Amino acid sequence: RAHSNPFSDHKLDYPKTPEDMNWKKLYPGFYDEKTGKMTQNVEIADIGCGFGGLMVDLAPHFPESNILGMEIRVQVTQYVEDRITALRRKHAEDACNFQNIAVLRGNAMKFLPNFFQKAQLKKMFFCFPDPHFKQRKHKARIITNTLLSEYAYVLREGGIVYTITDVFDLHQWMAKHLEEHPLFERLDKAWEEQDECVKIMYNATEEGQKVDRNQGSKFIACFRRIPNPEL
Amino acid sequence: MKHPFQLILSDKSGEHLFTSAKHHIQVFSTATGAIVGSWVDTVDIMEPLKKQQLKKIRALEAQHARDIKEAEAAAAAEPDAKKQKIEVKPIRIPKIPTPGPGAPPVYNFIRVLHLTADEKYLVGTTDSDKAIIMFELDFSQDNCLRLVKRQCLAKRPCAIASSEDSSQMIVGDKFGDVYNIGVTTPAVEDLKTFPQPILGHVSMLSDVVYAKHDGKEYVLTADRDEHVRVSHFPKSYVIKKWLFGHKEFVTNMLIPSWAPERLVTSGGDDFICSWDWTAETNNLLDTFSVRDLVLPFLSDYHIAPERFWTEEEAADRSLLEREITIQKILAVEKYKLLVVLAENTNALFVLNLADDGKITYNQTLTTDSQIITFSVDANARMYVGLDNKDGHLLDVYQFQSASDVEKLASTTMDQIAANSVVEVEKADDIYPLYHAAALRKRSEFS
Repeated sequence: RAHSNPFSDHKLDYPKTPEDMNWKKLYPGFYDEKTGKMTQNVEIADIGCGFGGLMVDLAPHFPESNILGMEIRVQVTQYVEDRITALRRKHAEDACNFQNIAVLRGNAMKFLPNFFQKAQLKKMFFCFPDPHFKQRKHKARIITNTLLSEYAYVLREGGIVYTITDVFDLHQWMAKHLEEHPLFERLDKAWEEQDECVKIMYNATEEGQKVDRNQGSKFIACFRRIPNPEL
Repeated sequence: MKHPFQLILSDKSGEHLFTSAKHHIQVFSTATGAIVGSWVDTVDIMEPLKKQQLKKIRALEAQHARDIKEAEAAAAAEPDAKKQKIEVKPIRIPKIPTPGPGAPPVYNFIRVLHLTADEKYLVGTTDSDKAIIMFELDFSQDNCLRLVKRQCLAKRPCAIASSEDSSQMIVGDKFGDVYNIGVTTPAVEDLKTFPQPILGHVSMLSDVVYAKHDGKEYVLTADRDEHVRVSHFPKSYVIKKWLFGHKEFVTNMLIPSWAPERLVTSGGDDFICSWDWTAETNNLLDTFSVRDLVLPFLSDYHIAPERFWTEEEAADRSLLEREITIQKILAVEKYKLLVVLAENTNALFVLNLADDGKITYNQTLTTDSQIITFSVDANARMYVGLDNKDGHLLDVYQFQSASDVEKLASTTMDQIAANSVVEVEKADDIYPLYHAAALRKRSEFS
């Protein structure tokens, strides 16, 4: 199945609070047996990570950050899990051993705050999200003005939201909502051109490669989390 | 027979009871039992569908007109061709869907009644056109309810709070969005031009509370998942935190007036949470189990619907658990008490809330009929709405001290019930009175 209804009550596993999250299971390479703590935390999230291509390409660039892919479709999550296990085995002796990437099945629209503390993340990726073309389905889109407040909560000041899509209408919608949100500012073309992650995002994901094969266009918009206003 | 009151709400003085039954709002004097205000929702429940149909017809007509023009233009462009017939499909009027046999009945009732802090406005919801209705209260008039604004929303409103100065209504809807709606501004007709929500959950909103702390304003929201969120107000895009502790849906939040940094929440869990909602960390102060208190009052009604039973449960019904839903918690300000109602039971549990947030048991009050809802005034008088077929729809209690509650003679309460104009022919015509348990999520699929 290509789509999943984010409103329905899937049987999901999610921690009661971010403190209850067992990151050891996902990133065993960064668990310190002595202290019982993680030596580095998730700082990059790929929301709706699909087949995990972006994470795999990001992994060598961010060895000091854990990268988490969230995916709502069971089979796809299973695939990514297997893929990461294989990569870790194959590259066990290499500089990049893929211990810093992991996937988990979850509904980011509903339970993001259960996983992440305030200001925990420095980057969030939204790559080729479900367009939900129908007007009355717009609330199901992953970028809405109300959900952006939650993304702003888990992002630290200066953190970046990356969006990419091949659907021009959706691109405009995402850009509009992010531009209108008081906690985000748009980054310009010059910034996009110098940013490593934009390049990776443009080329990496399976969805992106499919667009290339079909000679489609890809639209990018990036935003910086700005400080909270005076309250 | 009289339809039971689905909602009752007293003002602080206890002079008036605001009630709803079906799509009627009635205000009664507690001194005489007389009706001092009333309002009936006259909008047809089919109204939104009719509007939708009209919109579709207009669009079709416009398309039809364009089609004719195009066909005419095409004919004109080819004068040489044999006389062309201008063929345009006639408009087919779209049907309004009518519920088929076996479809659940459509109810039109008032889901929420809210009194602003200054008691200047009574605010309610309608089902018919999914509107927020705001009444200015003026007891010098024959009818104390004067409708000042009726604002339709895209989704059914289901929770209401108001800002401190009563100028803004903070309204949560079934889709999880919260809107800030002014009282004095004119209603927005075209919902496309309606302001964006000030915040949203991806789950049905179950309660909204406005709060102030340290000179800053906040809005607290609770939903059908187990989330309780604290956001700043009116800049609600800045989230302060989530309060994690519930496992099931939350039905209500209460900030006691004597301890404004405390918050008591409850819902589908068999415990009540007490919080310091203002603290940066360690917000949860206490969880108080109501399981042993409530269980003796539960019946087979509280068992999950049969389609959700496991094979083992179907084979051995003794395995089926009765589920607890806390429908409402209110405070008795005068004696710093909490009163708890579990849905569809005939008991009210009185609890103590200590200054450190700890909750302890005080006593249990039982009634002859199931309790639908209740309200407490500033003088520690408690009005209890009953599910009673004989017309005894209200009980009244007086807290004399923190440990002493007295049931008062309910002559005026019976008078109020007698004066209610909402009648039904038979018990089957009474609207469903218990809604909260249906919030429990039971997804079978993965």
